[in-house]
Amino acid sequence: MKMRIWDSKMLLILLVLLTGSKTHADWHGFASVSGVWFSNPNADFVYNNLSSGAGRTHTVDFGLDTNLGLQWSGSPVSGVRLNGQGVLARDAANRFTPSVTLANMALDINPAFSLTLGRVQNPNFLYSDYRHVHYALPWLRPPREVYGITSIFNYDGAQANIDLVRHGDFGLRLTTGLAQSNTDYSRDGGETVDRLRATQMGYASLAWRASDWLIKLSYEQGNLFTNNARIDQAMLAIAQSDSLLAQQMALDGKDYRFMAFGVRYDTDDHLWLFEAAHRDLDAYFGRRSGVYTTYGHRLGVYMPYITLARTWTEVNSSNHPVAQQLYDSVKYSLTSLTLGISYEWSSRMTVKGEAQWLKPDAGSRWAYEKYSSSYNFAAPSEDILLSIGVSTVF
Amino acid sequence: MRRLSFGLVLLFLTGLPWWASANWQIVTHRDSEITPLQLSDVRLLFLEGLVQGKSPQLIDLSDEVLRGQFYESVLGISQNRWRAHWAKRVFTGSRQLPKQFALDYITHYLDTNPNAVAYLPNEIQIPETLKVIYCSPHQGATMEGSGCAPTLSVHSRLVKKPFVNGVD
Repeated sequence: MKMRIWDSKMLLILLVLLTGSKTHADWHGFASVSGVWFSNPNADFVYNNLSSGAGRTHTVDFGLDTNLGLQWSGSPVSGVRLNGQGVLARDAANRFTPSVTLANMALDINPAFSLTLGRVQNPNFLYSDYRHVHYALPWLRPPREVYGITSIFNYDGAQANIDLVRHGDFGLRLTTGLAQSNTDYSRDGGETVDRLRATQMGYASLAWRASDWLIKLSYEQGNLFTNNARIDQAMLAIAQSDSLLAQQMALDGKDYRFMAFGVRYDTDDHLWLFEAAHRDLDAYFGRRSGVYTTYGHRLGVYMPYITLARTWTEVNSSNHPVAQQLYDSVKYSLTSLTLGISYEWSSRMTVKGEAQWLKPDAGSRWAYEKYSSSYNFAAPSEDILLSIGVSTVF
Repeated sequence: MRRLSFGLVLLFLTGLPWWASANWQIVTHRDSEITPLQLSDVRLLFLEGLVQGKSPQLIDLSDEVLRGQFYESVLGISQNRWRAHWAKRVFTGSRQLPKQFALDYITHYLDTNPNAVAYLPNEIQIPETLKVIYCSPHQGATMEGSGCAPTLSVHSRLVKKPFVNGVD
C-alpha cells in the first residue's frame, strides 16, 4: 500500500508539472501479449517478482510477459526534461495493476553531463533500463538467470550521466547515482505480499562504446530490509538456541554488493551478447551468480537466436534445522538453453517465439514458484518452456 | 517509362541495394556554430544527439520510408535496429527525442530555429539562410555553395517525383 501512496505522490508531482507548463507533450507507449506453456505441472515458471505463472497454476499463462506502458516526455524549458512512465502488468499479488516505472526530471547541464532526479530504472545490465519494452529486447524476455540476480529495478534518487570521452564512434559514459528502492514480492503464490526495501544504494556503471561494440561494467551496493513475517518467525526460532547465528542470517539492514559485466556486438547481420552478474548479501541469501550468452543472426525480418544460461547460488550450511531450511530455501542453480526466433511483423510490431530447456540442480528451491508436494527436489526433471509473444511500440 | 526501365536495368546490373544510391545532406541554420562534419560525427549526432561538444535539436522526417532510407544509407543501420534504438531512447527518457516534421516544412523550421539540425534529400534546394554541413558520400556528392552537388542517381530519379513534388 505504501508503494502505491509513493507512486501516487510521484504521479501527482508529475501532473502538477505537466499542467503548470505549456510544454508540448510527446506521448509514446509499448505493449506486449504472450502465451506461455510450461511442461512441469508441479511448479510454476515465473520471472521478475511474479508469484505464479505457467505450469502448476496455468496450463497456458497469458500474463507472464503481458503489459501495457504509457510514457509522457516533455521539455518545459531548454535543458530540462520531464519523463513519466506507467506500466500495467501483473504484480506479486497476481493482479494487473499500474505502477510508475519512470517519474523524473532530467537537467542537461551541458552536452556531456546530465542530472536526473526522481525515479529511474536500474541501469546496471545491458537491457535493464528498458526491460519492460519487449519490442526493443532481442529475446521474448530477458534471461532470468542473470536479470533475476536482483529484484530491484525502480531506483528513486539522483543519477548523473557523464560522457567522459566522446570521439567519433568511440564513447565512454559513466552513469552513477544514489537511490533507494521498494519492491513487493510474494513467496506464497501471492497470498501474502511482502516488501523488500533497499536504502543507501550507491551505484556506478561504466559503458564503453566503439562502433558496433558495447562493454558495460557496473557495481552497486546498499542495505536491504524486509518485513516478512515467516522470516521473522524463523529468526526467532534460531535466536532461541543461537542468537549469533540469527544475527548473521537476519536480513534487516545487511549490506549487499552487486556486480555486472556485459558485452554486446550488434550489426545488421549479427547480434552477440554476453552478460555475467554476481550478488553478495550478508544474510542467509548468500552469493548468487549468473551468466548467459546469446547469438542471433539477422536474416531480413527474421532473427533466429540461441541463448545458453546458467545461474548458481552459494550458501552456508548449519547444524540448526531451521537455519538449514532457510539456507536451502534460497538455493537457485539452473542451466537453460533457449532457441528463439524474432519476426518483424510490421514496422512497429514484432513476434517472438521461444523454446527453452531448463534443468534445475538438485536441491534448487528458488528455481520456480508454487511447488506442489510431488515436486522432486532431490532429482528435478528437465523442463520445457514454450513461449510466443507479440510486442509493439507506438 | 523508358527512363524508369533503364534505371531498373542499371540497378540490376550494378547489383547495388536499392537504397545505396540515396544522397542526403545535413542542414542547419547559417548562424549555427556547427562546422562541416565527418561521417562519424553524423552517426554520433543522430544516434547519440551530440556533435562538436553541442547537443542541437534534431529533426526527423515524419515519413517513415524516407527516414528509414536515411538511417540505412547514411548511418549504416537497418530500420529494425534503428527502431530498437529509438525505443530505447524513448522509454529510458535518456535524451530529448528528435521532432518529426514533413519534408516540406523542415527548411522553414530550420530557418526560424538556429539550434536545429535536419537531414534532407540532396534534391531539396537550400535557402541562403541555411548551410549544409554534410553531404552523403555516395555517388561522389560534394558540398557546393549552399547545398550538395546534385547527383543523378538511379534512386533519386526513381523517388524524386513522389517526395519533392510541391517543394522545389
